Amino acid sequence: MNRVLNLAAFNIRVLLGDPTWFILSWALFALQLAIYGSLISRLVGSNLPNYFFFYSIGLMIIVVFESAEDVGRHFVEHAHEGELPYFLSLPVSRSGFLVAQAIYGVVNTLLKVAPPLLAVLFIWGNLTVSGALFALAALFLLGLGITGTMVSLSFIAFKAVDIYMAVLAGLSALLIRFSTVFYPLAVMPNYYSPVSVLSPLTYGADLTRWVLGFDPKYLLNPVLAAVVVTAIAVSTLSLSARIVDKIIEGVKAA
Amino acid sequence: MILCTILKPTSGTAKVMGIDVVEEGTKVREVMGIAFQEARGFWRHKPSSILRFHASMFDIDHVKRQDLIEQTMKDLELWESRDKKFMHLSGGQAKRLETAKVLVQRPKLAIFDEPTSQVDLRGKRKIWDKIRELRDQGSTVIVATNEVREAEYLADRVTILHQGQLVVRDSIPKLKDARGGAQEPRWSVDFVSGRQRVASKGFESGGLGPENDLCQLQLGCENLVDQDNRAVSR
Repeated sequence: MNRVLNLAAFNIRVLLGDPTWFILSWALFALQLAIYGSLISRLVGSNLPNYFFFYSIGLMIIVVFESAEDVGRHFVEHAHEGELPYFLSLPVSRSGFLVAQAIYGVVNTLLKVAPPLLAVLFIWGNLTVSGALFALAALFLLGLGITGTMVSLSFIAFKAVDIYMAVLAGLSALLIRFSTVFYPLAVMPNYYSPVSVLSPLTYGADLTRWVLGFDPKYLLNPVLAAVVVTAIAVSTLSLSARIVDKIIEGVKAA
Repeated sequence: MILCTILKPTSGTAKVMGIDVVEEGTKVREVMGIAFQEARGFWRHKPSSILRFHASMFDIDHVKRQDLIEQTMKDLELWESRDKKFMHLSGGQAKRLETAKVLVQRPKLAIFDEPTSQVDLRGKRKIWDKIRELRDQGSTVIVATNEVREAEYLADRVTILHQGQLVVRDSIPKLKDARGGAQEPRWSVDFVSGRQRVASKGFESGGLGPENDLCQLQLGCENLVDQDNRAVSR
């Protein structure tokens, strides 16, 4: 376990070595919320009360998604830059290696999402310790699920990095657009809402909003959302562990 | 790569010091150190930080770690470059850093894959001396190389492989004695290593001969032709 933590700490040190990314991420979040968020809230008006808050949580889901996506990319970079054989030659099990990557992902996600979350809750006058913790837990679970998906998909990169990047871009576009990240299921047309139920982001977003006290009539059942988010995290992480253990070997990505 | 557990075997079994590479991969990695043919570093890290990380992964005593790293870096003439990032190191420096990892680790079994490629002549000698020192400290060392001089300097036993098949395995003096000297050998040396493996059809006709034959061996290595005068890819 000590070695797994060592490995995770090494990756995290690389992450912290360049804080520019965090500052940029926070700045972009603030900018998006201040300009687009406030304007779109006015346009939505009374059709959906408190849309600004709804939108800000959606934006956090995007940050979590991109951060988790980053873990998959990080994993592929290890392979592409020839570091993977070195990592695989270290005395850590394959699953330990994956755990180290996941810890890196969690820290990356929390560092990017926690300050915006706290800031939004504070500005909104909704900041409580339990609310913030539960919201972070929901975002964390969602992040694990996305991380598992991205690492599972990374085997594609061992055939062709370009295809992996294309798959990632397409998947991101679909998962975000067909979800409740920016608009609630209740206002979606019938031909659109059934597809949105398939996106894991729908469950993560609605669960986080419910935890933070958003009007439940616009959200999915929170128990269902919690179960789905947990199930996705467990299943995709198990799948990625299996892939790392059985398929991926220390060769350079194509 | 299979012995290092980086690649999985498609069939058969392999054991390192009695440990199965498939069943107990982590244990194999605990006793083994490998210096890859291509240096594996982290672009934005400094050599000392890469070595510190490597040492920490192999539970090298925390108190001794820094001294050991400093000494190894000085021995391999990396100390002056300690503040450079990996991406700014020259090919030779990166290669020496790769060797330094294994020297700091002091594994029971060390594998060096072409440890002195891209390294200048002075650096080669330093690396060779450090590898011999590692052997003297009790490690089993396997060196894969295309350089006959390197094999001669380092090896207690040479194994020559040709197209993945064992051709001959013996000590350098015995290989030299076994060769009559009259027959002109044409060598294709694919690999020469410290205590195991490597390659040449020439040995089938009697092995190495006196010094003049050794010269021819080196030439043959440069020319890369086999007994039938066909070009052999390196």
